[in-house]
Amino acid sequence: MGIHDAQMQEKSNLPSTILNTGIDYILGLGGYSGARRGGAQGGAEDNPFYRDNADWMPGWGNTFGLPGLDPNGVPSGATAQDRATNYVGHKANDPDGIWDGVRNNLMTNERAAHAASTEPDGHMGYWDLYNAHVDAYADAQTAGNPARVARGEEAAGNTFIDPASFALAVYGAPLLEHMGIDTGPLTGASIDLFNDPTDTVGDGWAKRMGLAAGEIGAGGVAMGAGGLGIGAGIGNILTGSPLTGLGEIGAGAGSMLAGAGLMGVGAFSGAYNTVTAIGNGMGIGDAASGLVNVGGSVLGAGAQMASDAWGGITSLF
Amino acid sequence: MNKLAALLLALVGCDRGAAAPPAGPAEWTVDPIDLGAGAIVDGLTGTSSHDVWLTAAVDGGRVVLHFDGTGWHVVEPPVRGPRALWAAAPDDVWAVGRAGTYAHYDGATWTPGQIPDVPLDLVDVVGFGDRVVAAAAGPRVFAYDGHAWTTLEPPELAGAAVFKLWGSSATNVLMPINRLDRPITIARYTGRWLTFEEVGAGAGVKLAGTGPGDIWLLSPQTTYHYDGTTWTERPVPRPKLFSIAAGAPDRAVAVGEDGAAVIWDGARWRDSPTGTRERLQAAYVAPDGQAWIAGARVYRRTLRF
Repeated sequence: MGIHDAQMQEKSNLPSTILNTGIDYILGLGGYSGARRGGAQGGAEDNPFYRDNADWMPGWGNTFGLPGLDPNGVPSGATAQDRATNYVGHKANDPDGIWDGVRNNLMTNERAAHAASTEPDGHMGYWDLYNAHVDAYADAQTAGNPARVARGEEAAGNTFIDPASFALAVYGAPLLEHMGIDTGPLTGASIDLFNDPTDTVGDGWAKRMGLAAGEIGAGGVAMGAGGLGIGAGIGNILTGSPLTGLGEIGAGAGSMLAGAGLMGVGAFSGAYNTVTAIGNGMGIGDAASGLVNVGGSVLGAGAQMASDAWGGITSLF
Repeated sequence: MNKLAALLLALVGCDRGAAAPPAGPAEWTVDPIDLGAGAIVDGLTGTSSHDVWLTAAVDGGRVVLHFDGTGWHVVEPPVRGPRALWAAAPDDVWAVGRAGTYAHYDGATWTPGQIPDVPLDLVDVVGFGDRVVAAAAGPRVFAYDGHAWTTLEPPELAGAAVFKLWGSSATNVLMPINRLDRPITIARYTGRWLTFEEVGAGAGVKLAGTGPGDIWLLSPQTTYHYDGTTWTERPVPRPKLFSIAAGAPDRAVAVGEDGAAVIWDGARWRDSPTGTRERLQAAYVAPDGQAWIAGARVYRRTLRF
């Protein structure tokens, strides 16, 4: 039993079950699994590294000087990485060891970054963590690609995600944990689907452009809903319900702010993703190929979902 | 997959066909073993046709099975996430797994261990008695001399990674080192340090052999054979190979994509139709010629020429 195992134990409740059942279904369409490797925490496949070393992860202890976010070290790089390492990479076929390389390179890089850290509290900094991931992906691909190329296949070249999306994962997912939601499958799914190191540079780019578009769209919806809330609030003030109106205006403004933030993350992600993909050798042909491959996969998954839904409906009669 | 999904998948071009499998009647029979949907056997090792070990990746974990000459039996995982086994003798078997864990089997009991201060997942192992070498998909290997673990991280491994090991003894453990646009290099552990030798073009993905003068190195499109002095290329008739195994100088098999299996008869590699199109990525050949190959299922035949 590690010193932080109890603190970082995954949550078990109805909302988590509902959320993760959906995630597991979607992952299944892509050939992945949403289950934790080897069962529960401490099980046969468990990697305790990020729990055992949570003390020096960014954010652990007293996040942003706000002790109210403790005692789970939330948000911190420990929880997100613990969920990530124990949930990702479920495709059985990894003959070139790229997932193995990423997992091991990360632990090696983060230990080195911690040893070299100049942070006053002895933690790794956020950028230490981010750069450890970027290097882990690149080095694992460098090591695994000769075999892929020798088989006549396209090299793996999916660069690590942008810093804004990574920050969302590092700080946002653990915040959900703090609110009682088990984010393991969600964390694993986001990496399996959008940050698979075995993807080609074009496929990885296309997937993340889809994610960026989704973030922009969701942000737009949030902003629209916020605008409606503000409108309703003004209406209530004019019709003699000032307190209700002010509350609605406040909530609407918050929603618009969050929406704008999400749209900003999406726009930044799309631009950053494209620049890094080009830097990693992506040409027009790779991008087009990625769009075709990913578009086909999404259509295929949509077809499977429609088929499953149809099967469910017909089975009722 | 039901008909609607299959139709839509075909329309959007997601269900691309694979290359045709080798022609001719299947020379392999399916071994009665059910690993469950989604399982992939990725490791076979053994010491004879009645002592074969298998490791497989299944959804959410990994399993170990043992063939005792009569049937396959599930073994309680001796390490966390068992990744690779090495059988030097029926009473001398090593296993490695996640987070630096390893175990030794003495014919009756598994004794677990942990490489001190190594949290890395171990991906391959070779052991003879109390001498062990383990790989961790990185630019380093871990060696145990019977008393303590040592990390070997010479500059020659910088920028590369060690995935696969094979050895004829504790002082002759080989590992392929690959770099893009450079010849395959073999790192050889002599019991104290590593020496390096270039082999040829390609990427070394697996080693096999029967002794220090009969070693095979598999690259996806070809093989190289070491006779104790020099490496010589031995072309194969099938591309995209993943694994190789040897039971005797004239009995070896290599397997790969689309159900490909090629067998070595002492003079050349030739196709051996398997009747499947699945990816095969593990193989074992016993000294008596009994051979197993595996992907999602396990296949068996006898190699006698």
